[in-house]
Amino acid sequence: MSSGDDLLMWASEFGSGTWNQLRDTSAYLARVHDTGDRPWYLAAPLSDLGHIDLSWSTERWSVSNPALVMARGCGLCLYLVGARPRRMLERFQVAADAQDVYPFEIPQGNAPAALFAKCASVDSAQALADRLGIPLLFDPSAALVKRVPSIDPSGLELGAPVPIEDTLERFDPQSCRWRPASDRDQPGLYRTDLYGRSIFRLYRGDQWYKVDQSTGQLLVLSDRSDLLRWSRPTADWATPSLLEVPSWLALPQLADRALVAASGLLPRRERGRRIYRNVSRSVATTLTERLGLRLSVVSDSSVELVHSSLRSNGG
Amino acid sequence: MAALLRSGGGARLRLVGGLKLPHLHHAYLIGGAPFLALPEGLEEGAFLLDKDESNLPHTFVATGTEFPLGALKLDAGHYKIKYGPARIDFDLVEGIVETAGEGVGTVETAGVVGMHARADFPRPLTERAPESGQFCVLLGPSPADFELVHTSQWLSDLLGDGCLSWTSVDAWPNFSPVWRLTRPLASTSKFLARRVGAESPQVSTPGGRWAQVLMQAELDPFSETDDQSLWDDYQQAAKALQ
Repeated sequence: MSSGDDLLMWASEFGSGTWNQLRDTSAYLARVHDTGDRPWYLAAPLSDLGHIDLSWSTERWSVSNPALVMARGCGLCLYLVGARPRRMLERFQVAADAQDVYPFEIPQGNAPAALFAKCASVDSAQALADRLGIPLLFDPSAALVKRVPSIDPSGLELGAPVPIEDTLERFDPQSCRWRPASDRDQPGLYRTDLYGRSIFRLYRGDQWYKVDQSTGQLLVLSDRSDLLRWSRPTADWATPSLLEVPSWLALPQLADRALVAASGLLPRRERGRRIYRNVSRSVATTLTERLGLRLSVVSDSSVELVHSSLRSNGG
Repeated sequence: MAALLRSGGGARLRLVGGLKLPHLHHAYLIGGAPFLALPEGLEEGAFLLDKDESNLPHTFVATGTEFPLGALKLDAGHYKIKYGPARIDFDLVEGIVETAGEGVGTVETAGVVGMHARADFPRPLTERAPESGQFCVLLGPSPADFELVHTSQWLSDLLGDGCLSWTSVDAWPNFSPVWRLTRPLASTSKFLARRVGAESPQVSTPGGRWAQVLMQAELDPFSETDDQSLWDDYQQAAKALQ
């Protein structure tokens, strides 16, 4: 069991609590598993995977009810989300012990392993959910992406100017890097360390606004077309459709979850990018619009070979 | 981070960290046993651990002021630790809740709990999987009715041994399919069409790939005789849209 599996099992038993409790348990697990992970790095994937919800404004979290998910195009391979106490895991193993179900799991490093059940049909998937007494959710990726709040500058909360500290940095939209700042005269996104936590402020139109990292970055990068890249699946589906996001770009929590929901798997991290798997073009397009960006579609000659024969005049 | 968890010792035994369960006195999940914090400044590190009041305690020796009880790989039960006159006890349990603990689903992320987003999405169909190396399309009566069917080979490859194979897969058309078209992946030969529905073509929108694929297809020679007239209707509709 990974530290993430342990944290999920504990969170499932505990049900809900404060960030301090989750942080302390994460710290304990980082110590006993010797991962060196900061608590946030252990807790955030549980939110991305839809196991828990975390509220920064109230500093509380709760686990979500368990469910089986049938994601579009996963070949009837369902995955288990939400609470996973030991008894649920035992019931899952018993319920999946059937001729028309094949359970398997995919380890995800320190994060909880993804638990799948490959079913022979949609009906056998429903029967599995019924045996477990939990709902079967269809294509939550498409449902979640429609709930991602649009990035709207008119809804920002005014805030005090960012304090000038040694740790003050300004986000440079050209290089997409944080640069040390000695003053706060230029419009843009600033961050500084306050009592061990990063705070973000947006300076725009002579006003200072409180923002989170994701909202701030997306506002200063508004309308960019070089950030989110979508590529088709290969013709033999040995590679699924992919959505690539730069590692430095923070997405809203629900956006991350909508992208993870497309496969039940956390993104791969390669070449400074997060690569989300099996994301449909429709989900990628909706998300990009909500984030105020433009989607770039990658052409791959090996993929184009098949799709070109099917391309209509309108694409 | 370890500094957050270190107890710093004290006058009595304490349990620090661990996967502690709520509402119970010193109850922890198996695999999440706490650290035992011994009083500081004492040179003696030996303590006794007894399970379920057996009075057959084992002796362990802590090298510092903390001892990781998790290292003992203890199973479920009630444990008592004795260190000189000091006593402390704790329980290790497999779990308590059936589904989820108290307060489940009380926090939302942008109005959503977990992946339980309310939406009205149609159930997918169970569709025969394309054979290995085959390309498969479902077509409905309208030119917008076009759905690719595929196996998720990438998921099988992810397992490392390609151990998954499919006889059926999910398909998500928002129409009732009428034709199932297949052809080998690398081939430029014609698609082979088999009837799976009965609706007549309804063409009022541009044909696009729907018409293109129909024009690249021929009826499966093993089809029923009755299928020919419907196929002819679709061919005619596709031709009119080209």
